[in-house]
Amino acid sequence: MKKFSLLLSILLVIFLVSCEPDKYYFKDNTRNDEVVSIELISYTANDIEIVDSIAEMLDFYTGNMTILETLSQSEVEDFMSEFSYIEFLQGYPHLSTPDGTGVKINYENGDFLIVTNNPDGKEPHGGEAILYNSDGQFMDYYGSISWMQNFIDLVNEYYQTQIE
Amino acid sequence: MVASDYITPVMYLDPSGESAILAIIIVAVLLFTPVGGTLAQVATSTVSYVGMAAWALGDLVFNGGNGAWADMNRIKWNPFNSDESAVFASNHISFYKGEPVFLKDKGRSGSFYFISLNRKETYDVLRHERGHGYQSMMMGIATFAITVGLPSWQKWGLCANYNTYYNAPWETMADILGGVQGRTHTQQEISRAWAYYDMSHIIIPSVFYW
Repeated sequence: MKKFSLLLSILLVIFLVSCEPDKYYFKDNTRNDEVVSIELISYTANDIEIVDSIAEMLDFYTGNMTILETLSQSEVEDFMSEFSYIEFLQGYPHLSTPDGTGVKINYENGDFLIVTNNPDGKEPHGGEAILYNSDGQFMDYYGSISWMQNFIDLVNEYYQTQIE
Repeated sequence: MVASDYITPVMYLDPSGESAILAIIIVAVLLFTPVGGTLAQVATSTVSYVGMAAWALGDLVFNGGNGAWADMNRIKWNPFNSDESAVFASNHISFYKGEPVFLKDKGRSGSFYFISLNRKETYDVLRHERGHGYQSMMMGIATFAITVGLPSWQKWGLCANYNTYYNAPWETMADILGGVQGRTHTQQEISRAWAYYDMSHIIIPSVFYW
């Protein structure tokens, strides 16, 4: 009987705490209307680490970035509409800086959001959504992409340069 | 001391131990097999439906029917509703493919014979959670809790990384069973998910055999 009670107690604890990770979608972001342009970029990180907290996030160095393509103005809204439903998971160790190829979403006041992917880079290979101010100083981290193929498909749908 | 012809402890002896064995078998079946999992789902859904119906009627009588009453009308009182948009449009309660859904504005979604759904999430989250519901029916209560709830909670294995979370076999299985549309798994991932399901039935009862 004691074993049975213990088992039930363990199960109850598991039930009460087992659920999906915290998620973030840009459809809930109030700044989507402020997007003025979206660029496809390549970024080479100087010093990349896996970190647990946003206090350890690094600033963005524009000198390390190469702009590959700029999305046509007429496609910005459609891109953002699809980007809004990409799932970002929160509460996981993540990279401290962008690295590889991805998008730079520019806001009216000069702030910008970066999401990159580097399949050959340091695991877990990127997917962090990181907001910087116009000087490249870190402002916020929204989460990391849970299913990278969705982001790759989105980029490849809108840009001639194809990523993998 | 009072003696009684009708109540004597001797009547309740089980010298052969058959009752104890039977009790263990029943508990094992309820905890570790699809029989228990399905019974748990039927019981949870039935109780929830009755409760939701009472809540809806109360809402109609006392609040004009804009809350739970409207929610039940939105799914046409059909517990097997498969319209995701109707679920997300609900105020508080709904049903999705036989499983009760309780909506909330913040916090993480989760499921255990009912779905606790953050309304800011997407249709695929609802489908994935329903997949976990089918999984819990197929595995049984304890097997599901130990082989799905525990590793998911503790972020074991592939769940340890955000970009491999859905590659964990128990999450892949939920994607498949729930009909998630935004993620396509490889044949290798699908095979691994079913292998994990098969193994969970063998190993977990063995752990508790002692």
